[in-house]
Amino acid sequence: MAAGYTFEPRILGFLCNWCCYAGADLAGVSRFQYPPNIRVIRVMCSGRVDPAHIFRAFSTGLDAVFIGGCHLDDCHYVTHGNYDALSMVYICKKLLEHIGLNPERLILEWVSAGEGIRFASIMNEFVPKIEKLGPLGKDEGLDEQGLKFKLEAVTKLIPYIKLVQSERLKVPVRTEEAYNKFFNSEEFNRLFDELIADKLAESQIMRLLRERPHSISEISEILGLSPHDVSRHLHVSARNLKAGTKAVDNDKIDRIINKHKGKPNSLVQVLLEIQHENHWLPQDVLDRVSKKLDVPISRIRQIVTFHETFRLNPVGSDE
Amino acid sequence: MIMGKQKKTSEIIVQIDGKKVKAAEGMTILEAAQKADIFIPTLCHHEKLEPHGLCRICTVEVEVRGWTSLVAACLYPVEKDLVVKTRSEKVDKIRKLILEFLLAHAPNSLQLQDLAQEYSADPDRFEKESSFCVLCGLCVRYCAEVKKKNAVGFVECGARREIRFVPEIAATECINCKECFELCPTSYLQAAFVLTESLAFSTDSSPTAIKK
Amino acid sequence: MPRINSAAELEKLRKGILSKKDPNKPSIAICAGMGCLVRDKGRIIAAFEEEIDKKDLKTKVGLRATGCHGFCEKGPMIVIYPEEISYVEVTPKDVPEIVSRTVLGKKVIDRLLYTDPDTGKKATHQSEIPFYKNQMRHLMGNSTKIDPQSIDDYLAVSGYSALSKALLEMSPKEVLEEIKKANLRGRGGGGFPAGRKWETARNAPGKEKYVIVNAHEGELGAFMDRAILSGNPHSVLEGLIIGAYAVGSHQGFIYARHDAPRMKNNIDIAVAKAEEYGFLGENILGSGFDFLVEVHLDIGIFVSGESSALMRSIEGNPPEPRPKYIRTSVKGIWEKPSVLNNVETWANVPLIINKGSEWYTSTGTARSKGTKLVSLSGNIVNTGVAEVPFGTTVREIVYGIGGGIPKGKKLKAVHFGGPMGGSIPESLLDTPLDFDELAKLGAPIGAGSILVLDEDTSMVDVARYFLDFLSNESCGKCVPCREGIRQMLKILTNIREGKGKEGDIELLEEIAEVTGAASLCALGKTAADPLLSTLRYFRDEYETNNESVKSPAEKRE
Repeated sequence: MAAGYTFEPRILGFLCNWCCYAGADLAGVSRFQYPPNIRVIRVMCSGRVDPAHIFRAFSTGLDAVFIGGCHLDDCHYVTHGNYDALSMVYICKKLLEHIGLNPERLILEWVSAGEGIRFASIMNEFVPKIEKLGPLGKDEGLDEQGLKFKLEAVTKLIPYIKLVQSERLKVPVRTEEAYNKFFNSEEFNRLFDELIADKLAESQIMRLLRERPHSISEISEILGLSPHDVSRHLHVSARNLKAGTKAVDNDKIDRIINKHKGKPNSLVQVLLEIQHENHWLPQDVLDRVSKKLDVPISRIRQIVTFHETFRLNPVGSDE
Repeated sequence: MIMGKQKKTSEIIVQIDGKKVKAAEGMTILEAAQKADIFIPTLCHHEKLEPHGLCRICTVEVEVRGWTSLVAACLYPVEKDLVVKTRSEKVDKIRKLILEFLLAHAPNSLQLQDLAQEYSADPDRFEKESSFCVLCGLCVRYCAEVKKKNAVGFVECGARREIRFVPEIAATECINCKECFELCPTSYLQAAFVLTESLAFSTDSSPTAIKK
Repeated sequence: MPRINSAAELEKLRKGILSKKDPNKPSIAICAGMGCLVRDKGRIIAAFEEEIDKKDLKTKVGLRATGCHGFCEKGPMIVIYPEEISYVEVTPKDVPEIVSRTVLGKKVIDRLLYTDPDTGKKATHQSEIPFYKNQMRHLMGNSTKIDPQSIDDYLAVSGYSALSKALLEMSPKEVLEEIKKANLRGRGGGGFPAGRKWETARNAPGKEKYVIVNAHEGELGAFMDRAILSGNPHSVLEGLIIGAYAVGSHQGFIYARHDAPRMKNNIDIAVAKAEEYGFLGENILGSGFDFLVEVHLDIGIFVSGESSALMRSIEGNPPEPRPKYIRTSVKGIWEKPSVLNNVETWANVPLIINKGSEWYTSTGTARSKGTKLVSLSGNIVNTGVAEVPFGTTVREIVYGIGGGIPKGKKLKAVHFGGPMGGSIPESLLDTPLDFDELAKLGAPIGAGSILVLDEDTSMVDVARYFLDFLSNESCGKCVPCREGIRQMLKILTNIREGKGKEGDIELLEEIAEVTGAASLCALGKTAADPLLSTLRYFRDEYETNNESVKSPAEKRE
């Protein structure tokens, strides 16, 4: 560490216009001291804050995010936006935890317009805590590349996560107790794992494959997933490890297709024969079959994923 | 239409819930009932699509030639002397349980909630399942039969069945279409689309993006 | 080989083949059925070929790899002709001795003979072995005499004489009547009268009709179809051609498993040879009847054995069933009338035509005629494929043929029909093998797989196992089946882990009722049958949360 350098956390704050912002203002006017590490963005309601904002903040290297809103049941809008902020923060915390960041870097607090002193004391506690944690990723032991990669994967998935949240992760009763109960329950954990964590893994696998071809063991190591899970994701998304490489030459394919007289109903037989000869079905082979037999690729995808008979990735090879 | 040679489709009289209904040969029970303004609930049915008969909510009790059986109204063809009961103890039991199965997946679907009230289906009867697709297939069939683009299809089978977009087609076709979105009883179709968009469309500006 | 164009030519050929056979020439029939082949990996066949070559006996000793002999438990098996000496559990090391002592020296090798575990008696011939003694092998009887890759072997045992009789001496209607009189019921699990199915297709409008052999055999524990199809494919082919003639079809399909290369090979060779000899193609035997056969493979999923799913698959679509409000015999493949029958059903047809329906109906019970192939597996001493007349009691099969339960355990249940069937307890063992009798007890015979379960089996586990199988092998199209199986499986798994709740059994019964009533196809409709039969006869196991009944593996933990 360079001489004289101390870590100054950079914190982004989203403060709701009616309560928290006014409260922070009051803290300033009343000269309550608190560390100056927070940069404030004023929003009309804490419910406005989107997971995209939070993850953008972390992606640009900020060390913590603070969201401040009105007390529950005191929201200035009839829609009770602060409850939306509450569920959003629960999910974001779980996402942070999932990618290996300390969820305490994101906090949500209720501060009313007259609670200047409360605002200051929250900051006086929060900033030293983040100081202790150090720069983003340091305390958690994540390297810069890896962290960037994971944050990107989450960011890409946010439109999907929002739809999942609105359809599946809704709490029917608007009370703090009900929200706490739900977001700490087995059910939530299970739904999160199956709906979000699973897709996050897929997102990361796709990202890796876009950079360059990887083998299953490589992917498994980089992402900390079991080879079985990696293989399952690849199979379901009908993606190949080596997208773009031809493992079977077109003449062979054409020969098999012509053997069955190019009839569209020979689709299953053609696929079985190619599988038998080549032991797996590269993506462009499926495209070629689709064109030559004039069958939609969606039908081919359905057939090849119908049963484990068909392999969409090379088997047994150790690359 | 060849003048003078048009064959008159024969009329068949069937009985639905005690009412005599005039139906044409080739009609299904559902079509005949709709003609007579008798309501039979459906989920996977759409007037622009071929009936698929997979949700089984339209199950009705029929009696013909002394045999009683439970059949899907959207598929069963009308025949002479057919007696149909759109509500009965058995029918209601079936519809209730089917709704409870589906509510475990999509408790917030408005369509399901409406029907659930009628049949006293309990949305909490079964543990909540993560996937909120009810696999009605409306999106798949619409894209195949009406738009003829086949941008979305089923993959896998059994309990693992789900719908997936074909990224290569969806990337170019769906942006200006999305007509299937309003058919979806839940918001899963939208979710699946944004998922495909984020995972599989190779539209990112990364210099090493593999071109499809 | 020039095509045979008349009955006279056929008989001439047959006489020629028979005259070339020397009844005293020694020959060795080696079982190359699935069970024996897996154990031995073809080394015995190779060893015999080597030994015969070495001793320069190629022209003096015949060698043939045959289809399944049936007694899988004691494989690898061989039979030495002309004495018909039967050796069991043969190893490659025994081969030189067999050739010198038995084949040439005509002396029996004691240690290779079957020994009865109860009496210690040794059996020199297959007919003396209890497993075979109590069978009636109309279909399987020739399995040791035929090399499936040779059509001449089949002709030597009167093969294709039924075809000749049907095409040249009977009208299609007469053939149909004969099958109807014989009351041949489908052997694949439906038990539907084949004659009625053929008649519906025959009378259905349209010129294009199809006949199909369902060789999918997806039922768990069933391995008799492949025994017939890979051991004696011509018997099935002959039945198919006769059926096509009766129905008026000119195109047939054989729908086989994709993962049985040897069987596919034998089928391909059989079809090719039949075409060569003129039993397939145009103007068969000079009758004016044309017929061709195509072989189609499945993608490997259980649901593709269901008739409408199978037909979708032949069309090139994913194998998803369709509701059969209009029978497939009226609207099947490409909406044309299609007759689908099981391998065993087709194999019975030449028998009926040759020997007549009167002879055929003299075997069996009032409503189930003829013989049935059953495949015995599970906790039973003698596993294998057996052929018994309908009416044989289950007890006779399990003890008389199966040899009872190993390790001195007690019998708990016998399960029929795999994932679409049910179990009967020990108290019902005297039920005769009959489509309707067993169906009444909630344990339909299905394709004929007989799974014997001993006292250490948890019946909850049995139900759970079959549901687990179905959850992956159902197509997932309709809600009652997909979701019903999912929920039933969850409850059963909880019960098995001791986490059962009050009201679970009632919930299971409710789901079973809805799944059975509202599902689209037979898979869904019968998915809950194993569960229901175990609830019927073994309800207490569900109620006590069965901590007490663990599998031997669990007990060891």
